[in-house]
Amino acid sequence: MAAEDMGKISDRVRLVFTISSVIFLIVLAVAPLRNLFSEWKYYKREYFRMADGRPDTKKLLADFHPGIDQIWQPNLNVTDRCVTCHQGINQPSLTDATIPQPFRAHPIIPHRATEWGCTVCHRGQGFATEVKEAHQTTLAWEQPILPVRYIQGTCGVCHRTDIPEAPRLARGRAVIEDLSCIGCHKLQGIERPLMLGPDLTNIKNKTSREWIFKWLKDPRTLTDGNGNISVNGYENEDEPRMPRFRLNDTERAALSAFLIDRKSNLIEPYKFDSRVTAAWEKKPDLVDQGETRFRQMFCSTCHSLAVVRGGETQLIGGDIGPELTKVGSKVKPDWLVSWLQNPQAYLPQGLMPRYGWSDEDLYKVNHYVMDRLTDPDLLKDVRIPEQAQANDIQSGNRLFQQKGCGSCHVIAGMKAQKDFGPDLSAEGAKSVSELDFGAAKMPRNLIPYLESKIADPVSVNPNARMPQYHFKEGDLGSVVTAALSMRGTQTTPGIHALVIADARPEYQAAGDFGKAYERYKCYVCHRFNGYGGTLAPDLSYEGSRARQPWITEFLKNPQTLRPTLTFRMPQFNVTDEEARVLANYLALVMQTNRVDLTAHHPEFTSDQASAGKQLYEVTYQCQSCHTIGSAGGYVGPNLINAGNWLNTAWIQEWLTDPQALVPDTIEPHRAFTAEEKSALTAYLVTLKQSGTVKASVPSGGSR
Amino acid sequence: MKWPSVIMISALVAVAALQGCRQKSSATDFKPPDKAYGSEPDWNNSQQIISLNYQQTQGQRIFYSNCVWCHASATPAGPSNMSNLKPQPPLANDGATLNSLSNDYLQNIITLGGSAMSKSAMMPPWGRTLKQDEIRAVIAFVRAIAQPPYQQPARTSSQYSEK
Amino acid sequence: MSASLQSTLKGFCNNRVWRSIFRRAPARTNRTRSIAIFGNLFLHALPVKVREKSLRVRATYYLGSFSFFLFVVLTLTGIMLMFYYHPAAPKAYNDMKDLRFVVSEGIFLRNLHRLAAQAMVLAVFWHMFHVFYRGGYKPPHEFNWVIGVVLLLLTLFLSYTGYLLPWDQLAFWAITVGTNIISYIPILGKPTRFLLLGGHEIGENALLRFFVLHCVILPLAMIVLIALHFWRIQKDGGLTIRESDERK
Repeated sequence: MAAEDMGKISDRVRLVFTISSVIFLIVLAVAPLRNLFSEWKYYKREYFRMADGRPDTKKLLADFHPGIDQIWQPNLNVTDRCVTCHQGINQPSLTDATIPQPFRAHPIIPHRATEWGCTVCHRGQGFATEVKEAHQTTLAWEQPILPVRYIQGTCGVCHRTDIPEAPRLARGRAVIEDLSCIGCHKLQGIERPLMLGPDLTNIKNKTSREWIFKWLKDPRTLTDGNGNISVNGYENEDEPRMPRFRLNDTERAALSAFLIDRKSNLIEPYKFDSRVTAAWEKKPDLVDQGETRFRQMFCSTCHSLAVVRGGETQLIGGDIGPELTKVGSKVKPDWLVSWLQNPQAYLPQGLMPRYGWSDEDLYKVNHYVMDRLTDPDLLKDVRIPEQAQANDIQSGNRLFQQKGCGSCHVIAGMKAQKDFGPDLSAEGAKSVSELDFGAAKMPRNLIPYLESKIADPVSVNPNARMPQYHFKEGDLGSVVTAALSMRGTQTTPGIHALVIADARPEYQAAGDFGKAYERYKCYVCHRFNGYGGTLAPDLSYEGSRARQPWITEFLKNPQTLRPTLTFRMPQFNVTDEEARVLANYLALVMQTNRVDLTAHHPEFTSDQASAGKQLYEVTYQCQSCHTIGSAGGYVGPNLINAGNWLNTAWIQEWLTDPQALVPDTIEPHRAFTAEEKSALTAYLVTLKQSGTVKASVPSGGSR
Repeated sequence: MKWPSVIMISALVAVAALQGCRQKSSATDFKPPDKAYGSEPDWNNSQQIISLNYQQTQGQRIFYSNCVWCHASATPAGPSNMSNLKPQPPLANDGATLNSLSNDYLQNIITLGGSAMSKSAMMPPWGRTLKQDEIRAVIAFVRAIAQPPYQQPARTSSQYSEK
Repeated sequence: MSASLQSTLKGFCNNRVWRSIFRRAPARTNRTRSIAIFGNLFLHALPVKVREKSLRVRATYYLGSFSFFLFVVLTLTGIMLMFYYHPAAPKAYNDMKDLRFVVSEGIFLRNLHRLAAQAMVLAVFWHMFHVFYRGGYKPPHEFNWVIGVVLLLLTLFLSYTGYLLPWDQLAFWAITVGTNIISYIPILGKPTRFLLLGGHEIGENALLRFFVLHCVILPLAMIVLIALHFWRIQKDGGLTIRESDERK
């Protein structure tokens, strides 16, 4: 280039430079424009427009500002920008269902959204200000918004004890306990009970190899000739407590051979009193009498029987013990007698109480069970493949451990099996990289994984050892909810500090009371200071509530208190001494300070009693829920014997504030005046059923 | 070889510019999560399932602990108390009777009891046993299961509710 | 330029302030042009004259310049990113989310940095291949080639250290794999890993070390070596080729 040409730029270069500059500026404008027209700004404008058209504009826009809103809780690791678009969250006037989302207000919940943030409960990406990024699984964020049907799972992260506002969570936890998942998996908040499956050491004494073989095939109750199944365990519907394992006939033969082959203590056949035998042996109505006795002793409170009602087979009875429809074809008669006399001799951890049997009762009931609760075709189709005995037993031994039977069933002499399945105590906190999807086709997310795995383990892992469960409608969702609540130890110290630990009260009864308490297993149905079952009333304040003579009488002869209950307290045939000890303890120890039994009450006059009757029948119409005799409503207990049953001080206190004494009672809390209370108490105290305070031990000889 | 590079550059530019046009499409593709917090089978037709939101589910819970004994024909314990009572209380899903009563009226009768509203004294007052929010939740549940279905009454002013 | 415009401009520049900033008049002769280049802080490392042939696109495809341009972009965007970024364990990830969702043009800034980094790696590789193709490694340019290779390694290492900074799963596992590979080098492997991570595990120490490497140590090394690289080109005669190798 010549010196004079320096500095000259050719036209072509100028053109290229101009065009590329213009293009560059256009491209440069893309980023600011995207910023200007971002999604959240759109929603802010929309909210402003919506609020403008409403009567309470000022209130709705009080906190409005055109930038990004966020809820910041550093101790909970919460930085939630959801409120940028969801601006009506705290506005009570926007709760109507016609308000378009995202402006609708949050339903009223026990926690304030602005204090807790959104992602603590709903998960999802709180950082995001874009719709897709906030709600769904994206490249940079794995955890989508929790579907509403599982939202109660996050309640359970802090509320380790069940709360009434989260019924699905409570249901899920109950199902997990019922199905004994704890047998194979470690779970958060669930303790391994003392006994999961029965001790199989002496199974040889109880039943036959054919029965075991059939049971391993399908651990429900046994099908009848038509193939109808009457079900076992798990709240009277389809799912048995023992799962259905994937076994073939050879494996079943091996296992049954192994179990039958164990050395066990022989049972001495019981010698009934010869007079009883002589009297009852030939009686034609022996079995009917046995059935009557069976019914009178309310075995059905714990055990259910399949009956045909209205054309369909239903299980009537409780699910604390196994159902007994065909138990006569299952157990050996000697075993049954020894069991009834002392269940803990066979199953030390069993929950069956040790009744006080008279020989006569035992004889009758035994015959009833063995003669009527049977099915002669039960084991007809059982074909055990023939194989060398020794091989079977050895492979049965191996299979017992391999299939995980040892996780639930104990056999004396065998090492206890632990950790058969993976540790699930932090399952709800697992990230996608920790889950083994295998070749399954599903979105790579925790929730589809849990749903698929629990519903059908083989679909996720073809070699799964987890059995196949069949859940009732809605229970699969409940179990997933409960699983989502198990997040292990919280890494955020803020959340860790908020966890309401599971309060499992312990209650140890000792002394003579303790002996009777353990013998009759009161805690299976009743609660004592927070510990025990919920089938029957809480006895923590029984001493304040009931009079001691009444308690003594009730223990010997449990009566009907509530007209419509299916489950009643069985008649244990407690001795007089035991009844005295139990009643004494309850009356003296199980009291509440709210009821002062020693306070002196002035005598009630008959005027007060008639005024009380007037209040009862006319003003407050208590008969809508309570019966006196046979007239009245079914909701509350029968008051015909209220004078003998309830302490006066208790009645007074109860009428003042029932929920203070029994928190979940539905007796309405009314605002009685002091006179009304006295009048009603006076009336109730006059209700005495004559002839009830007597000891009535049913016919039967020595014990 | 100018034109190929010019075409390539303009193509790149066009693609870059069009990225900015994609914002609102993601909003319309978005499907909100499953709405049903709880559910209740229709009392008249058990095949039909009614979805319940949070408030209605709480109402369902309270109904089944406190109200079902008298206001339903079958209860979890078996028989219902309804036939013992004269006058018979309405079934909770009785839309013919209940739809015409306003929410305020129901709130009052549940809180204060039947005798305070010139109805049978057999209906107890729940105002001291249940919180006002809980009673509102029960009413919401009752509206949800009503047959014939409950229609929210029309308002005279703007379509948005007023506080 | 018209005479009136010229005289206006002259008047405008004819004051004390202007003359104290711009000490010399515009250069019009070759001699003053040389003085202007030599006497300028920013320009004195560059040659006064270049061969016309070396300005053609097909001579170098401007790859070296492009790499340098990208390096400048990376430095500037990197500094702007540093205003928003805390090299502390959970905060780093939150800051990346803030950049993505809250900061105006945060996405643009981060993507510029990221794209420039990927483009720079491509550019330096391409530059290396092209220099090899054109024989630019031949004497007397051998040492410059070595410097270039070192610059390549620095580029890659910068990329690697920058990868950890978002502190997400991708970053964490990439660095896990990389440092585990390093630990397999005989004798020096394990101490090197320990030095890099500031410990045995990837945690806050590792993040901080990588941040310092990425923002201070490696860029400084890079700047020095780039300067040397340019200096070498200029001193070895510029972007020219010997007559004997020249392609017609």
